[in-house]
Amino acid sequence: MPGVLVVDDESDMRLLVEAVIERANEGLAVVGSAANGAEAIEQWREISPDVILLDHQMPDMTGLETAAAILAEQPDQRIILFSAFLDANTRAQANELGISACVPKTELRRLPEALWRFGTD
Amino acid sequence: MLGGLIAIGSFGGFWATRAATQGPNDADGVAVAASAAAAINARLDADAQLLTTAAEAIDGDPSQSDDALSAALSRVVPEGDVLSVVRTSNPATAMTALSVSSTPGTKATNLDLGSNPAFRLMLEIGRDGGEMEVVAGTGSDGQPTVVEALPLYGTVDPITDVAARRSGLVGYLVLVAPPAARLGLPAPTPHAEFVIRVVQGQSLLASAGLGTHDSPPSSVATHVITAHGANWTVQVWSITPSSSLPVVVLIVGLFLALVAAAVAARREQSIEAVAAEAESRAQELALVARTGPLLQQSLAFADLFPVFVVEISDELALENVSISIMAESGQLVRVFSLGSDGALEDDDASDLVAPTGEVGPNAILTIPLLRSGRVVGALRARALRGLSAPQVDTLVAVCNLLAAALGNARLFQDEQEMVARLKDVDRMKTTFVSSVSHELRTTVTAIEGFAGLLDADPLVLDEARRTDYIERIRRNARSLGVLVEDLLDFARFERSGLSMTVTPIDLSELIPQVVDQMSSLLGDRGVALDIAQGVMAMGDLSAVERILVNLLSNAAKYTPPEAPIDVSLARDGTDAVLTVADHGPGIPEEERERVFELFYRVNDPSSRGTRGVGIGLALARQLVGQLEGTISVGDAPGGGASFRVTIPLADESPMSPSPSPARGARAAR
Repeated sequence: MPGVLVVDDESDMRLLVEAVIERANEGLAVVGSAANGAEAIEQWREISPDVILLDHQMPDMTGLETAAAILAEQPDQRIILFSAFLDANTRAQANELGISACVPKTELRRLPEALWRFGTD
Repeated sequence: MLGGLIAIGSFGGFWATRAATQGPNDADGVAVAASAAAAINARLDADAQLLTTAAEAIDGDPSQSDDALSAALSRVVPEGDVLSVVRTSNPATAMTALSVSSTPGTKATNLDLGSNPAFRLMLEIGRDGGEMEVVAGTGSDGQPTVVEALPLYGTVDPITDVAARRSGLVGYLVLVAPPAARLGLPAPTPHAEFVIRVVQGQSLLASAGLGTHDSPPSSVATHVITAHGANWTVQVWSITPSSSLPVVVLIVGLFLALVAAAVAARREQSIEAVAAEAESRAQELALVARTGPLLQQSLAFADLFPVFVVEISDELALENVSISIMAESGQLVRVFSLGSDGALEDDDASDLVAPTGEVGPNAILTIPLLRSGRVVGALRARALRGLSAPQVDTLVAVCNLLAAALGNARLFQDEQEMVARLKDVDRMKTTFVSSVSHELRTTVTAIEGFAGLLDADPLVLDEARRTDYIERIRRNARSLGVLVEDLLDFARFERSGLSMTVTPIDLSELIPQVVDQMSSLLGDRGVALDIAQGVMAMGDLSAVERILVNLLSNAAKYTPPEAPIDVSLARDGTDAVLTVADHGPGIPEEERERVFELFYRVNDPSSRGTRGVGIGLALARQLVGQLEGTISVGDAPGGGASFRVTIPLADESPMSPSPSPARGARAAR
């Protein structure tokens, strides 16, 4: 069962994502959650999730910065950037870093589908 | 008797003629001055050529090794000359580093050019102009020294742009030599009929002939040199040899000698007058020719004033030169001065008139800087040795050039500032758009998401979850409401200002109410209230509410969950003082003014991604301003930021004795 690490500074969003994945019941499991980049890296080392669902606008470290740190250590880690504001520049940077996909937060309902499509082999 | 007189006259005439052939006459002096000036000019031209050839030999690059430079330069340096290399990108630190001579064993003299103002100025002008400059000054040995310097830019291709020259400078090629030899003058001799002196202002730069001549010369002829940035005067002193003729012969020839002397004196006077006229014309042209390009080379005030002032002070023997420009208030404000000599700020600028005619020593001149007939500034200076009428005209002429340059520089500065402001606004707008999008989408997504969860499967949700989801929807809706209110307020405010009804309102009652209403937005953070009772202020209910809401939501963004927000209300003189303090990271001193700017957000990694769009505090400031109050931010006692708002007290507010405030914290939740 593919495990998802949810990273978002908004507790509302973390809760929502967990509920949506749980509700979808499509064989995905939330295996961890983090409220900022440093916590995310710590959790990632500990639990080795299949895919990381990563918010971009967070205090201290942005999602892109967090992704860069993780991908530098493990280039094939699946990461989905899940952000409220995705402009062309952010998408281009994500692409360059090797992030698997960018999903806008307004697509919350279709998140399980995206996790299957971009987050697993 | 008549024959005797004629005989005596012939005799005297003979001696007078002979004296003229033995000693120099004035026409000869003028000719000698002209030929010395021509020789100096030719020498400077030859040196410029030599330096250019040497620069080509090293590809304009002084950064090569000493050995490589020595080899290349020794092939071009002529017999008896010494070429020095300066490696620097900054004229202020220029020092000769390597000297190459055709004569083996010549020692390198490390001349510190940058620390000498005259040399440094020459190096700066040379750098900006891209050509050889010549200047005389006192060398490290205390002797008058002529320095010729050619700027190097790491290339032998000409660079046409001043900015590129400034950034591209890598060093100089320099010729330093004892003045007489360097200037092509013959060596001093005790038997000369003329003393040739090269002077700059009052200082003697070089002399040939009898050397420094203590007794006054019988006459002086002058010639002005302007070449490669040098402005010197060649003086030729005619020396009448001391006579050993018998006294009787002198007496006999006295009568006609006096006649001859009177004629000579008149001739000398007219020659002097012509020479002086020619000198002042040349001086005028030279100064205008020098300052014109200087003023064109730069559009920045900081570059313009010092070079200009040094140039005119040097040429016209001015002291305490100051430049003032017209402020918007119509007052002259001093923007640059060399020395100080009274205040020009108090002068009424409208009736300034350019001076005409000569002025005496130590006269103070005030010259208006005119543009289209309007006074845009003034230049004030003390004429140390006085100025002739043509010199005054020259000064007025260069001031006109300065006025034109000032206009250009001011336009340029305005343009630069405008560009910087527009860039700033553009950057803030981009941040604003992304913040608002982020804020709106996050909140709407949360509301939609939780509503979807509640809606989809009401049966499997336990009561605790249901309540939690509904509370989260409510909180997000409230936060959306604040954001929308902010945006609408600003749209309204930008159009016509907010309409307000200012009446006495009871802040002691209002503030706890607003804090209660805000509790859903504040999450787990408690609010510690410290409210003085009965504080009546002149305000508008909804304005005061919006100020407090914005300060609280700002504090909530930066205070960690669980930490309280401190809200207090007190009196201070005729003001009510409302304080909202958080336990966040605080606001750096340099950003405390800017946080109240529209769309501005503190530039700190920890606030990046924090929710907010940069409107709340700007709006609070606008509202406080309309209530004739003040808003500021400082440090909170426990770290964090403390916002202080003052609003004028209503008259009926009890001033004294002040009722004891209801102290103690209470949780707002």
